[in-house]
Amino acid sequence: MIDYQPYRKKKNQFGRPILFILLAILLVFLVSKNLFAIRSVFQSIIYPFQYATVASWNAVTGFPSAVANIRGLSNENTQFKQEIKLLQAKLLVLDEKLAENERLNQALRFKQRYPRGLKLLPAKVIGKSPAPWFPTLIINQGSMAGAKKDMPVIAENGLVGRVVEVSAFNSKVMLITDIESSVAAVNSRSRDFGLVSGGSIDRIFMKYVGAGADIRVGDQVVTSQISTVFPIGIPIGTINLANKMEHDLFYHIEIIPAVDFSKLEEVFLVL
Amino acid sequence: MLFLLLSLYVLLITVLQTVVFSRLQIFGVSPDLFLVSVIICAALDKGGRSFGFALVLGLIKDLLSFGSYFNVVTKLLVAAMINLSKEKFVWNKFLLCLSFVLVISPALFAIEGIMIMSNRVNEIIWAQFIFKTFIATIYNLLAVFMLYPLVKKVCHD
Repeated sequence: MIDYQPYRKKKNQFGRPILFILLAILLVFLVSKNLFAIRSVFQSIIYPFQYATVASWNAVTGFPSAVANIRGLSNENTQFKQEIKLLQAKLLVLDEKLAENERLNQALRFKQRYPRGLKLLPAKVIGKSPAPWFPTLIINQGSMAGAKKDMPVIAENGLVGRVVEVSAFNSKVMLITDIESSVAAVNSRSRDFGLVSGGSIDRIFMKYVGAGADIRVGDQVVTSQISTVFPIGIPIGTINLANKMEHDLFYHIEIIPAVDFSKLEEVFLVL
Repeated sequence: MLFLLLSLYVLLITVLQTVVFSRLQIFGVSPDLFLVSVIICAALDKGGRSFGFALVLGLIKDLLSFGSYFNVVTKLLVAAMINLSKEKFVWNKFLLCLSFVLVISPALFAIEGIMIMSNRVNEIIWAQFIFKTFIATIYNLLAVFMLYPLVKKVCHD
């Protein structure tokens, strides 16, 4: 009688790892190429649960005011705060519009590009990506509300990033602190151009600013008119560090972002 | 029943990771519930269930992320590594989980960060980088206390 048991056991030992390796390769390919819109489908599935959790979270964190029986005031306050944020965000655009009008050429370009002005769509931040080195936000406006890929996202203080993925009910936003992000920018005082890109953790840098440029610590950096994605004049941040070595062609500029990304709750999509 | 339990667990940690812990970040760091779950499952597992678990959680993390799609591979490697080495330790299972998290979590966090940043950033601020890795490890160790009973239910029982 021949015992086949050892043979069978050996076959199983090799079979399972090979199956998992093949599955892993298939899944990496599937996700990276976003086949069958798998990412959007997944986002749409978990969206109701995320939304419900955010609502519960807000209810729990807003509980003390409810206990004090000031629900009406609290709601009114929230509404006013939201309106203020919306107005502040619009004001940022309007302030820069005013400055741009003084420079006729730039104003002309602005009008050509945005004949009807900017339309803002409010959105709530419902989640963040779990990948620590690729900071992305999940917001509660998707293609149903008119969100599209590459739409700029701003907050009341300045530029947040751009939409990189759109599902039916939510979208993923790449922050300007992301290593992959780059924004055409200009120093609002000296009008020197550069490219703002993400760095490690919460730092952003302004690159390709010529060594002969007039750069000072404390200067404001805003989005430039040469950007094809972002509207002009949105504050990006304040120059925190600017230095150059003797033979350097470009400045090394570090910027503190205008927006505190860790506390972002509401943002606006620029339609 | 197992499928239902697994689905509920995956849904729970997905929502916790993206909504709750994204609001409880410390110095921009939140715990990696997916990694901690895979480590616990692999440490408790006896029948190779942890590989399937690693595959599912890696896929979910890849779907939630943007720009990095190697979570399926890393989670499978972690599961394989723990399955190969856990028999050498005769500790209490919970302590074993904590030890694996203590070793694997900072290693993976740092390797991933260095790989990404060395390719795309001119200069890495090492003090900040090490601090962030340290915070992530502490946070992940705390997450073991929360997830251990749940993963035990899904992977072991």
